[in-house]
Amino acid sequence: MTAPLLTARGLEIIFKGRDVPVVSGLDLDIRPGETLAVVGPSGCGKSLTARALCGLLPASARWGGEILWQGTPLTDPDDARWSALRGPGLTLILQEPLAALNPVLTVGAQVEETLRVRAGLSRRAARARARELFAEVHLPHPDRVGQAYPHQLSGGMRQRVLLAAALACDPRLLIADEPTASLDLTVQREILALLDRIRRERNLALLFVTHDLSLVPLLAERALVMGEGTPPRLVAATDLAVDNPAPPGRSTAPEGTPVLSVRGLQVRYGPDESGPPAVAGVDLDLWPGEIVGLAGESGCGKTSLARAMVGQLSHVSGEVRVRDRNLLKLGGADLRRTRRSIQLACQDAGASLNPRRRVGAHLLEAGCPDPAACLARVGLTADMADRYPHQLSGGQRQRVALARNLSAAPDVLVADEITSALDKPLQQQVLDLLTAARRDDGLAILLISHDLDLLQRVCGRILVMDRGAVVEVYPTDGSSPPRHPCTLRLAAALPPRVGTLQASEFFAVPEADEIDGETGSGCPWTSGCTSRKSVCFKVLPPLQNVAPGHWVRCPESDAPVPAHFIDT
Amino acid sequence: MMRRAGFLISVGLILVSALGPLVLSQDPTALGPVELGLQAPTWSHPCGTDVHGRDVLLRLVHGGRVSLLVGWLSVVVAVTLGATVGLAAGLGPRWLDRPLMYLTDAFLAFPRIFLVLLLVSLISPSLWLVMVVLGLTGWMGVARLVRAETLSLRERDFVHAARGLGLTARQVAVRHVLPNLLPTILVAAALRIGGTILTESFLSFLGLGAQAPTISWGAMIQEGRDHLLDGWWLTVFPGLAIALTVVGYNLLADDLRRRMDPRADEEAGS
Amino acid sequence: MIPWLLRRVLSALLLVCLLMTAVFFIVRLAPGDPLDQVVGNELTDADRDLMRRKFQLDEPLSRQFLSWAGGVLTGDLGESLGRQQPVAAIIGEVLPPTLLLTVSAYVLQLLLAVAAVGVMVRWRGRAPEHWVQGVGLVFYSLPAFWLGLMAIMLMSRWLGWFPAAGLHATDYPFMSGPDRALDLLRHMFLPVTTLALGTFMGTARYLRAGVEEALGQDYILAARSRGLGRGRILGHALRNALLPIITLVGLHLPFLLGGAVVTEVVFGWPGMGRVTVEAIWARDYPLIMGTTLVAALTVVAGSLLADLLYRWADPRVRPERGMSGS
Repeated sequence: MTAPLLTARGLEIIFKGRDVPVVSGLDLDIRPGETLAVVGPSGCGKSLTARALCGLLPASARWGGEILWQGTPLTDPDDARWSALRGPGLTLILQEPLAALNPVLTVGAQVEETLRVRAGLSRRAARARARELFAEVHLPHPDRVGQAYPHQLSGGMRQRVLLAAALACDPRLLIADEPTASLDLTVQREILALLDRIRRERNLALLFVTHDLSLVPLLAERALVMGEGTPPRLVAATDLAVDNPAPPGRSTAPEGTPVLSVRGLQVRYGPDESGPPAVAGVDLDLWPGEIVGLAGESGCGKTSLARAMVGQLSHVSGEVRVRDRNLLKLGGADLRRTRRSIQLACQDAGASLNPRRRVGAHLLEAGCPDPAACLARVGLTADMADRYPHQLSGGQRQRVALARNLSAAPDVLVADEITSALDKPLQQQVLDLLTAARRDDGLAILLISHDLDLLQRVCGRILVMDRGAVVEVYPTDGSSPPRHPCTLRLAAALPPRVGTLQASEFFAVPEADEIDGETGSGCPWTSGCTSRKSVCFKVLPPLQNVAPGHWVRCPESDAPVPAHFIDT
Repeated sequence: MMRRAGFLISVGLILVSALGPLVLSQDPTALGPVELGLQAPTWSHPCGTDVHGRDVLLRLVHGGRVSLLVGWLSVVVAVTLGATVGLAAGLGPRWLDRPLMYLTDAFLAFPRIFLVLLLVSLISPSLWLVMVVLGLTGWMGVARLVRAETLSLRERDFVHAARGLGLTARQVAVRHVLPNLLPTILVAAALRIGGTILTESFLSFLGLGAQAPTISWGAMIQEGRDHLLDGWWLTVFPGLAIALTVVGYNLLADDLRRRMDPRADEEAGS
Repeated sequence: MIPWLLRRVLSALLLVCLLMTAVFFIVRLAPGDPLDQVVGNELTDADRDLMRRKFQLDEPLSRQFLSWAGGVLTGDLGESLGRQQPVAAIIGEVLPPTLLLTVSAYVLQLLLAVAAVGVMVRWRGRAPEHWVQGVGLVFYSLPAFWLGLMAIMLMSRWLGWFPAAGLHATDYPFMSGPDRALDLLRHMFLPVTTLALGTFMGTARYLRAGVEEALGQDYILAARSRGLGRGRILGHALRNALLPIITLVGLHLPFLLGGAVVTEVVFGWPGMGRVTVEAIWARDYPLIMGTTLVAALTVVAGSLLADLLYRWADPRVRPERGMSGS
């Protein structure tokens, strides 16, 4: 058994001024070439642990216990030892790649700096080595990419740059703190594949911090499970449990008149409304008691659509009919009345609450006659009415915001990524809440999320958006499976359930070319499409009905074009 | 302790300036006996005497009123004016914003001291003139600040949410925008008091502030200018008084600012 | 880039025009006869009439304004009432000393600010930080004119190291080159230092906030995790923090000009500030208008420069033709 590279014994981390430590009694060791995952819900101290192991805790925290590198203990004031170690010994990569790169320097300069300072290379040698590293991390155009600034690169490219910088000193251990959490699902998969390959080629030890349990067996042999209040314990990766809640009932086929009707909705940003539209002509109908999903990768226009639907944006054209009144054309008291019938719930619930007003005041303002009852409805106690938003936890704020939305007795609720920041148990609570509102009040819900898995479990049908347009609408009962390349990409990028798909299958799909081609007049999704024809390059296809309840924006189908279709 | 210092100094000075002259009954302007002229600090005259034999400490206590009065009142004028303009620009009809800001920037481009000197010298100088002029020349910064803050508040999700609940524009402004604006305004006001007191003292030094027999610290320094070495206490003590006052208000402003900024919660891990 | 620049310049010029109109009418609407201030009672009535006609003081105000404005466009700023010299010439004489004073003071206070921030960050939470903060706060709170007087008292009257006032010694024209330079430096020392000491803490505050914010960023953490040392890290942070400071140059200019007024009055420095104050005293309209115009132009030009600098320095704002993708 080879000696471990890094060992921690009884590690404890506590914030100054607090009594209870965030982390205590943590033991771990990592051997050369091994991968250890660190998992746990948000708030359990995973990131802090990662930082502590590099000796880079924030000034407001202290650590106790022992950390040893190859048997030699590292102590706090001994900063010189840590400094020497960082780079060639261990190194850290972070979650948000844009923040981890200095915005005013080129990426090449940042990587070369490390090479010059730590590896003592000359300017020329550093530049050459930087190019080699860029090629190793599979950045396109490795000889030119060094001249770009961080904001000019995509998220995936930036993360590769960070990886290259981290590898510059040939470290023996790489500590990765949620390196893919803020990336799109497709890019996530590519970066993980890259990490996997690099660690094998370099025999690099990897400490991988993540909150997503399904990623663990793809890379790691063992996992350190952390939890609030429980001591950390080491398990084998295959022993991790993932709970699969039973899918709730779905709505029946819609009948009667829709409660929400959107036609030709377009949103353009920019001072003169120039530039490509964020939302390029969307049609959508919602019936009472329905829950419809809206999926798409970040940047596809989901949030713009949501905000336009509730009337928050200017530069909007089209129709949004709620109770048969067009929200976008109303004014005065009419507008104010109609606004209450379509409510928007945002991802960052805290931002939607006035920090200077108490919870109770928020609810009263929304029209709730009895704040205690409204709070109880969302599973909160009556004493919360006297608190200010900052005194609540994230999950509680989310529920208060929802309570406020529901107090306005809306007909439609647009929920924009309200579950993304919550862990599984809270997610389920919120979904149960929504189900109850649908059942009891006939509330129609448009659930927006990038998590196709969640939407498929919960919604009756799903709309998929990309680049501002709806590319597919399909039913979730399995009667007609999705076929548009965007939808397939979203579905394929989901990490497999623990114990199902093999890691090798997950990583086998080749990495996409990340520099996008220009968009001509044809279908912009041809590059990833398996069924493309020559006509696809010339003409942007309308949405076509290929089966009951299923439309696809693709000319492949022979079905007749429906009465209204979308032109962009 | 440092935090409280600002508060203590400021309040202490106000008390001394307000109550001191009531408690100490001697007349600070009465000429003293010739032999007492220009005496160095002693126990009976802790800050010395001036050329006319008047006790400097007594004059200091009386002089404080001018500084504090001018400081507070002109800042109140400036902040009220500035906040009004800023709110109008930020919340009012769109067409109002550009011209208002243009006007504000135009005035801001000018070195304040030029403007103040110009205006003050046009009419015979007096204390009230100084207050008005300082108020009229100090609103621009506040206006910009308030406008920027208002514009950003306007786009905050909780304001959107309030509108989404069907509240009128006025209700949104009063219940949601203004309360979140108050801290900014208060801090801006506190920060300006110190600077205003400094400007006022310069004006008094030039003879453009409160006129004799009203005592002001700046004028006292001017009187002592001819005796820089042999009567050093005439210039040193008034200057220290000004400095102490301004330090007190600057500390207070700092403290206010720290309190008002929402302290981001320490990240509790992950 | 060019259209933007054009728009900025035009709007700046419009601003200056607006200012000039405002100042002109403010000054003229003041009560009192300008000629009273000028020469006192020694003028005969005939002389007065002559002067009135010469300076067009009896014409309607709008006429006077237009003729003045016309003059400006051709470079003629009129003639000073009190000094009987062309205004443009007067300004030409006094502008360089003011520029010398302000620019030197700005550079010095920037250096002081960087040094102060360096100390405060390096020894955060310990004695040196508190000392620097305390000293800085005190300097910031002192009346600038009083600080000048104290400086004169100590350094000039008591110690005799530096001259108390003026730009040059009386025998300046007779000095050799290096002696001249030395004399200039001796005269500059007190005013420049006083001005810088009074203002550096304000800059240091902004700079420190910027540095602290930069230090809290993830890229600093990432750089440290690659093993880069303290000095380099501070260099990164300073580099990022100095960016907004550069824009502050534009905003600082009015303050520096104002501070120069105080310093010039106290130290008898023959610059624009002192001349302006004297002109205001004397109701010397042409001179007031002239100096105000130049002051406004300087400030507006300064802020334009700051805008340009910022666009050049921050790559995110520059329109770049780099790698695509976002």
